[in-house]
Amino acid sequence: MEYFFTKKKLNIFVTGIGCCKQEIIATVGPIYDISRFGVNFVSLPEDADILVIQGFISSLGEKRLITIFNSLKTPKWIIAVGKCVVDSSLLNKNYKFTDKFKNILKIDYYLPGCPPRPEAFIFCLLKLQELI
Amino acid sequence: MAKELFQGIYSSHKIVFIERIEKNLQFYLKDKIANIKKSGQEIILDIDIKNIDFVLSELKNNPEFSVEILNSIVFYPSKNANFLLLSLASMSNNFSLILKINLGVIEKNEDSELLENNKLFSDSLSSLSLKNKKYINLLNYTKTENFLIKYNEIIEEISKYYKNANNFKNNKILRQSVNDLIIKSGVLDGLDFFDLYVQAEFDLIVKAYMDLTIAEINSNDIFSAIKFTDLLTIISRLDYSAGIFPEICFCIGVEDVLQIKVSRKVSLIRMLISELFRISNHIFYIAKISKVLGADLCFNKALIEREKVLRIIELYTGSRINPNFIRIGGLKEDLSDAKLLTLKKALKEIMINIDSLETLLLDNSIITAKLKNIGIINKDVAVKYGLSGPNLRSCGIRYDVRKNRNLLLYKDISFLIPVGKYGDCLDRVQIRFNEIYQSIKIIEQILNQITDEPVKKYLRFDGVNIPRIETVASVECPHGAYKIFLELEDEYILNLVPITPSINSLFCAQEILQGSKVEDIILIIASLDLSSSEFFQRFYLW
Amino acid sequence: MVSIFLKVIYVFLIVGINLYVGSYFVNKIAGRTVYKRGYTAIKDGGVSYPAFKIFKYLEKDSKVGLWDFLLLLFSFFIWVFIPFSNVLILIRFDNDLIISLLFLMILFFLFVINNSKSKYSLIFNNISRNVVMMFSFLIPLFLNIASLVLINRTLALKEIIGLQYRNWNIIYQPLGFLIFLCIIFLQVKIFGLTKTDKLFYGDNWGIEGNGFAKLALRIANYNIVFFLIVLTVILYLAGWQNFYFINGNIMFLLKFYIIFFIILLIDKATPAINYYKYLTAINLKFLTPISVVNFIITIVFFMLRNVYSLI
Repeated sequence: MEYFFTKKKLNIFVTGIGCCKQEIIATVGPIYDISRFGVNFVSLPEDADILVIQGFISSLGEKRLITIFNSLKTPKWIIAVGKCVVDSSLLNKNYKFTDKFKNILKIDYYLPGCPPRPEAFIFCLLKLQELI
Repeated sequence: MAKELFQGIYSSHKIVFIERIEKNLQFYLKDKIANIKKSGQEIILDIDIKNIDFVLSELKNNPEFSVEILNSIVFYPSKNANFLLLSLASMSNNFSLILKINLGVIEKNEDSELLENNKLFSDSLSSLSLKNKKYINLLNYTKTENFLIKYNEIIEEISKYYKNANNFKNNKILRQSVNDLIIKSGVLDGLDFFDLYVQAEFDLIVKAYMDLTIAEINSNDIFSAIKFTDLLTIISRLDYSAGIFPEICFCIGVEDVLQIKVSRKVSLIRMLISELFRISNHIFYIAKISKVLGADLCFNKALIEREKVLRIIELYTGSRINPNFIRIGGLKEDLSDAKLLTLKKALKEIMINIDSLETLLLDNSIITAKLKNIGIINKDVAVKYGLSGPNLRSCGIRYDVRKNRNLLLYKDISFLIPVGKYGDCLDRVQIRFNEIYQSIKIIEQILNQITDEPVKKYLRFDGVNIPRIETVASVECPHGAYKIFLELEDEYILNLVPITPSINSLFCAQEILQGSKVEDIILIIASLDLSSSEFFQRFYLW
Repeated sequence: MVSIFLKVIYVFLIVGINLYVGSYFVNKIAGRTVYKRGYTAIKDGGVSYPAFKIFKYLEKDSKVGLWDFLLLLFSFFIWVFIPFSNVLILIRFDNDLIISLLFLMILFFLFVINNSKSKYSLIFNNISRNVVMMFSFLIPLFLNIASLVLINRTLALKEIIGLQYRNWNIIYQPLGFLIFLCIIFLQVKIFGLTKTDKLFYGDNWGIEGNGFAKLALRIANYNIVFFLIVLTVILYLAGWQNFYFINGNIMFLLKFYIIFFIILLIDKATPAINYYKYLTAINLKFLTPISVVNFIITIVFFMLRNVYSLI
């Protein structure tokens, strides 16, 4: 209720390199059409409300992720997409993102799948709108 | 235009006998060779580091070989020694070979610090069972300064013959010097794996350098000590924009070595699905380009068509992006007639819609004015950097692994290899459209040729003792020629080295960015269709 | 005194409601033309979309700068001299055409100052060039207005409308009308009013995001486009003149929205023109020469009629 107007118009920023990005970008298209829920993709983290973390993250990527997270303005949420972020990384069994960043980043929604379908991503965003 | 190309006929390429070249190599190089091997359509040539000068000069200057192109230099550690792989190709004699250079064991400096990657690796060692540990390459190499200096020296020797080799040097000094403008990795696929360092005068770029440290993923030896039958589940992530190609490449390589013969229907279905992936990748490319140009209508229209193709792929393989469909010696499942019929119906629609998309995009003077004469790649530059795939063909060179290497059953099918003329952005976009039409043409022919015969689903390799072997296989993926170098022992993988085409396009981008304008940076890089998944490997040392 | 107060409220209401409706249609029609639905999360089809958009800007933390405030203020000041109907004019002035154009130029200047703060836009969206383009569009604009003034021989907007009671000016100046449409269309392109998903580096300068500054910028963008459309309607399409039996005020609204929709549709059907060479080519090879020709033709006719009295 606090962010009634933000809820109806969310801006998303996507980080990481990975195959989930293809399915996330597919939601822009007319068949899934995520914009009818008021959801937009942006290219600057300063404009975003939601940070989407997906794919494989390198050691430089980790540092950049945190600077991106800090440059988002205050009401901000995080979605973790894909097996590599939710569970252990597919290319390295010992690398667990969620364990490593347990104290720094508070993840609001986990979206499993390798990669998750576009419908799943939309469903996740609708759930997040309820949460807000 | 589309119809003319669609109905055109192109004569099949001349057949090259690899055996003849193998014999010639043995004759000219004699005792300089440690070992020579033919695997499928490729040749693996083992040499020692002392003979590198002689062998390279012979390969380049002898008219029997005249190897002009250096595709890439890859480093990998193996059990007893470290190796350097040079992927070379000859345009005039139409063959390609892999030069495997033995560097010997490099002494480890105990004082030097291990990199973070290596620390992670030693962690992952402890988690493996004792049985598998036998198959792991214990590291003879650390990224120490001593080693890097030696590595640079070797590359300087190579660069006497191939100037392209200089790009593979470990040069972090360059990055520090070039920094008027730093463009950090972007959001969209294909622009997300590099930081671009630009030195500019007003709006003209003087120097550009692409830094790939963000793509160095924290993973080490992901493929070693894995059963090679298990690897098929994750290998498609190596090129997720067209996931079937690593799978096919891997399977072809293993089948060549184990001398497994594949039935006609199986290879037809492999071709069919790989063409579907090629179409989907090219349509996504067009979508990206039209997004760069700000043509929203074309962007959305392209995404609709891509969705149609992806749904057929999902119907066939069960997954939209990562198929996991090809098995060694067979397929995951057979395709029923009903499934093939849906493709037949959808193909006509896709053909019509893509044709109208082309007129919408390229019959527009605003768009063509923006695309024309930007990011021009000459024939010489393309050969120098070892480009392959559509990017090479747009410069006017007719080279395609499907035709030139007798890949699968492509020799039984008539199709054109579309070729550009000027090598600018407009040609690169046009060639993608033409390749989509050709792929549709190929699929139509395959659908007519598929017969009712049972498909072998998988082969069992439990308890088979395979001696230590190495192979190379290559396929034509949408970005270019995709090669995989493999080392097997028993059922386990010792080394898997993908030799990918996008790295050449990246080096080429660094050159053609010089002299172009700052505002065209995104357009030029997007028009080269770099695949971000090809840069995960730790095999490049620069 | 009271009447002026009421008039101010009326004018603000008219502008505000049209801003709301305009941005609603930008969302809806811009979506439809690219096979999308636009915002439909609420059952009534997204009528509340502009409200969400406006309040969302204000919801997040932001600082109010002096220049942002000035931009917002001046974007409403340009309506001061524009007559909305026979009675509804805030300040009566003989040469209000020139004054309102001056206000437009001031708004452009404020726009430049506001945009020069962004570090991203300078590189990728060629904002410096786009700003130059914005000013260079004023050349054909002034030439056309000059030739129109030659015909009507007045600088008062109310009189110009009054003179069109028999024939609209579009009959005498078809080329001028076309050039006005082109300029509005290019202005919409430069502002990027209909852009939605921004996936590239420089895509969202001053368009998407939060804070009062961006809200002010957005409203200023809309106001400039609306102002230019209203100017075309007044100068060429006879403003609030009655059309047979239809009431003049309704006609004014109708003409305004017809032009607005035409421009929206053209905007979505064409790709982005942020390529400055192409923009200069349009300006120097198409707009300026035609308006010069138009000006010369009108001068010739003017001389023939008034000096030699041949016509």
